Amino acid sequence: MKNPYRPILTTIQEITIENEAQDLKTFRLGFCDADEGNGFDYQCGQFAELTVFRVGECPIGIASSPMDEGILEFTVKRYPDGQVTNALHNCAVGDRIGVRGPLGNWFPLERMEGKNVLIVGGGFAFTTLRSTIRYILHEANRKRFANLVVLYGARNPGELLYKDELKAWQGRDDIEAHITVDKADDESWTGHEGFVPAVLEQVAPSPKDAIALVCGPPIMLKYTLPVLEKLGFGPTEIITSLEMRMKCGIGLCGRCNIGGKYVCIDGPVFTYEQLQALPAEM
Amino acid sequence: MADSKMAKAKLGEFLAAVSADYEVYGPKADNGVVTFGRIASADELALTYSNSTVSAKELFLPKTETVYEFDGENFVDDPLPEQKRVVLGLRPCDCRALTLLDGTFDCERVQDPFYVTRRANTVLVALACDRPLSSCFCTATGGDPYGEEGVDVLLSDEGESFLAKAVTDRGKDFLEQYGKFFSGKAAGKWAERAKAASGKMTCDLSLAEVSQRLDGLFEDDMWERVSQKCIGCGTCSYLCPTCYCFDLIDDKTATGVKKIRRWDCCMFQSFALHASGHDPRPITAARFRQKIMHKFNYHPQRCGLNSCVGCGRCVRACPVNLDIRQLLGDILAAAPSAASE
Amino acid sequence: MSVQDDIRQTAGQLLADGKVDLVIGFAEGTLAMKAAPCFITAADDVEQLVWNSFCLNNLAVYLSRCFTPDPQLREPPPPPKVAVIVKGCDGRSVVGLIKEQQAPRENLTIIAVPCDGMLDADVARRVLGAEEIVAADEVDGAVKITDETGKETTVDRKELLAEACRFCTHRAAAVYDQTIGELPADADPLAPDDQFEAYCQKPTADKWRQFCSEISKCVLCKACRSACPNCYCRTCFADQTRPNWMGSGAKLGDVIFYHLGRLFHQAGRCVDCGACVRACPVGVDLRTFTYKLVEDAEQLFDFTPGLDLEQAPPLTVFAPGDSENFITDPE
Repeated sequence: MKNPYRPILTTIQEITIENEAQDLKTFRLGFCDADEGNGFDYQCGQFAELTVFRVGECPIGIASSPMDEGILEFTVKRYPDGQVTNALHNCAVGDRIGVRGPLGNWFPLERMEGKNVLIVGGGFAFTTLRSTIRYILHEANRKRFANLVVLYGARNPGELLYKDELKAWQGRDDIEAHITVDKADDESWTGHEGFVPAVLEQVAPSPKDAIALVCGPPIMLKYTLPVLEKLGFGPTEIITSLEMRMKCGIGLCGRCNIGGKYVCIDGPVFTYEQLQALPAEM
Repeated sequence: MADSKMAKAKLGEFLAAVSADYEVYGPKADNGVVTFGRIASADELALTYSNSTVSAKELFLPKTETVYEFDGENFVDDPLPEQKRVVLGLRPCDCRALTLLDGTFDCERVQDPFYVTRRANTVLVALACDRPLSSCFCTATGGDPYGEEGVDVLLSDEGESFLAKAVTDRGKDFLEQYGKFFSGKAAGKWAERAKAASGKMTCDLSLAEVSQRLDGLFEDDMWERVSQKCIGCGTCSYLCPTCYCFDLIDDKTATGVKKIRRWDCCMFQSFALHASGHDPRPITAARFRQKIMHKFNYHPQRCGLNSCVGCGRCVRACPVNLDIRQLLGDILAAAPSAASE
Repeated sequence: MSVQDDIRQTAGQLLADGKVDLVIGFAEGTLAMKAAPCFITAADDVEQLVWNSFCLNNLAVYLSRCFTPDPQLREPPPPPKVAVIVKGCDGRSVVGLIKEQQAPRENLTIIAVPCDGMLDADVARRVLGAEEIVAADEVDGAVKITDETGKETTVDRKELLAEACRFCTHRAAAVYDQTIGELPADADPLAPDDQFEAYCQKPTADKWRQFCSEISKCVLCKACRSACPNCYCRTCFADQTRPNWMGSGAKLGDVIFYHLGRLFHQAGRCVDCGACVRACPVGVDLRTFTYKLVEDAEQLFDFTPGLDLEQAPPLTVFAPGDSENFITDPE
């Protein structure tokens, strides 16, 4: 019988400091055992439990794309009270990290095939959306989807994740990337300025044959979801991902309930329709 | 052998014989507190107890348990609890509780190897309740003082002897294995004794409808009121045979770590607190609602049954007399809410 | 007028006059020999209030909770005006909470009631060797108890006193706004505390053994902490993440660490109300150890907590005459 608590061993291959505040780092992990690595078959939107041995474990969305062969990336925000996120941020290349997963459900890429895809992200909740964008942009996949519109916002230019990729996306013609910041403290900023919901209203993507993936802080979701509805996106065409405190990640430990749903196994991906049926306990 | 008797005078000899093949666990009393532990001889057994203070759950989900050990380089082999065990003298409510835990720890989706191994290796020899307490309410949850769910062998204390009945094949094999301690027929007495016992149950609630009633009550303003006296101590969950929430903790070893699974409780302040400081259930009322909803609404939605066997431990042990029977009774008595109509 | 009637009338008046928003008292329990803490906010509901020999809980435990609003409310409501019914022990806890700024004095109406010691169902079970008490009827100090078999036994109430009540000396609150009935004077303990004396006589190594053996029963639910009015920390050291002080509890050392940490935080603060002991689901005898701290505070610093709003707690002040015995002479 497989031990569901035991992680797979990886080592840190690369660490990227993502933002000026230096509390967001992307960790690229390599599997110690190639077979275990090949068995780690994940989808866009799934997460994994990361273990810093002797400290603890925490659930983090997978930021790399299933098309990035042999690469597993996680972008982690450090919180002052977070034992594991602090320990992760203190790790160096070569350090050993345990990975349990992939866990949870994923974005409904099959349902999205042939459709226009709108991706709306805010802050550091952009990670699994980045995974999805990378997946769609992959040459083997791009034709399976129609237009790809991305709207991504952060507090200021320094807080944007994956800056090089953002730049590259803006130079491509198979993705329409709108980058916005709450406040442009940098004079060289050429993107949008304003909160995500407001910019979304300006960009006004068409809901026709479209599915919207939306991830961001609760306050952003609160104001973005109504804009999408107003634009004409139906409640099953809006898809989001939730976060809760987790321990086991496999539906046992009883921690991540929102109403009768476990975010770890029934989520983290929910449609807006499902979200509306959940109690306000997030 | 499937239905017979054992004279109490033979209990010591019987235990010695069983101990040669199994680890034997049973109820032990210490200053009025009854817990399950290893039994070496018959005089250690407290078989006249009404119900144990702590449930027999801890024999399958221990308070703390190592779920893996990593020595810094490699994983140490999982120490699966493979010894054969007999639990003697637990009550039918605790056996029934284990069938509920099976739905979580041994289901199609995931199997907890430690729990599953223990369940597979353990024979449950239950002792029927002839003297249910006034705080017991097993019949309200669909159980019975002579209930057989989850039981391998059911005993009934007849005074000078125990009636014994095999419920499962495993129980039948067990009774046959120790056939020389059992003799005679007990047939005919069971129904009568069971009827007498269930007649002593004083709680006339029926909790089958509670789940439905709770459907519309999440937003109800009652939660603050009913949980006002709750001090969030978690005693109810720690004694409960069906509460299973746990924490996973890293205990450092010299060079590596043991990952420990430890009992936890949704009534605790830190239970759902995010690293960011955000807490989706920041007040007692929200945590208490989670506890009640999980047991009587979410669990039935997932597994079809309330996560409660009516053992009454939470009723007896609550330091502020927050009586779950009263709460559930009030919920049942209240007019169905507009939302569930 | 009976104390119970007086409590109802007083509570009703305070609520009707708008002098308080909430009265914390006791209501009828659902089990024999139990009363339950209750919260009355309307004068019409005061009939729920009872006063009998089973009002064991230390109601002060609710005060810090009353004055701690939901941490996620942007605009917390103003602190409520609260009346609390207090026995000697509750009253002393309230004083401690006021001094430690967990309950604003001006928002409190302390109603002192006479207490003759409360009766404990668990003690009754032990005394009678019963599994359950199903009824108890007290007349003039004699308690007729019915057990689960239907057997009736009449016992002197003194035999059924909760452990802490047997040794209680400060039977009435020292600080209050209103009194009900006639408050009892300080009294000697009912009996010498043999168990505690035996512990004190032991050499240090044996004391430690007793402590470890008792603590080994603990299931680490920390109900002792939840039941204690003094344990109001927003984040207990045992729950802290950074730094993380506690192990998982898999080792006895973790459990000892928790209890030592909690116990030492009680030095000079514990009023020996027994709430921790009664909340413990597995019967750990915490009192022997908390009472040692009570005695130490008395003997080393001549300090008894909860009697005086002005006197500074001993561990917050340094006085030239402070005993130093404990530094140089652990025995």
